[in-house]
Amino acid sequence: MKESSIMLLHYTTGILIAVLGGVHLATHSFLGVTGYFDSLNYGSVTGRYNDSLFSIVLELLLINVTYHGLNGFRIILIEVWNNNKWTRIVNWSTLSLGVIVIIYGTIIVLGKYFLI
Amino acid sequence: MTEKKDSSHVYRAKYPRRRISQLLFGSPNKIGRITFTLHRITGLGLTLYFLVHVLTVGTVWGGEPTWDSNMAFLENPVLLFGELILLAALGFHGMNGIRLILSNYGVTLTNPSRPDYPYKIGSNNKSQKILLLLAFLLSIILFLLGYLFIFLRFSL
Repeated sequence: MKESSIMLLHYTTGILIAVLGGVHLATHSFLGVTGYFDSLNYGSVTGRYNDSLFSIVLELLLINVTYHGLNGFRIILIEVWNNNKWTRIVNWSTLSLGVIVIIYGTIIVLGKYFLI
Repeated sequence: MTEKKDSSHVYRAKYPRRRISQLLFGSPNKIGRITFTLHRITGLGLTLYFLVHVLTVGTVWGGEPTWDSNMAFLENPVLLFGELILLAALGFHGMNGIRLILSNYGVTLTNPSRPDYPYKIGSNNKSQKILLLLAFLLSIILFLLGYLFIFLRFSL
């Protein structure tokens, strides 16, 4: 992918995270729960994972945050050390780490099908 | 001597290595440099938190006793204070990120002008300063909201 398209995706995922992260914080403070500690009860958490709407929000958040965070990390690393070999190493390692995180997170978000 | 196939030595000759304090705060546009540094530090911190968060949240499928013992461990004051810092970092990173996107597309910037005395930086204009203040304000508001919900156990 071109660096310009990577950065465009970086910005769009950033804006999407601002929206979806707001929903995520709301579900842990006032949306459907009475407070922060109530939202961390076992029944409350599994209830949210069994609700398909919240699962979609969590899955979208997972993909967007993984892309945005690891791409930001990649940018910092290849800006600090400027070297062709280093750039290639960083690109491939962040890509593989991102794929692992997305697969692991998807198994957790869809855990009602995979893990129970 | 090792061979250098890329152009890094040319880059290094043009831009010599600087001290870390100079890199963080040594700039005529001091507030811009500080926000740049804070944006990167908060970004790294949030990414690290996200990876740990995915790992800890996954234990919900281990059953109710596992989850309850994990939550009891996470409920110590140091980690709760860490969550407040995290909320402030999140607010700052988000608002400053919106400012960066806007200025990347030239929304708050003026046309370039001739550098005359006293060499004021055109990009550091009033709307930029307002957006920066908003970024800091939002991070403080999120910190206070987190304090309300987490430490004072506020419930609706």
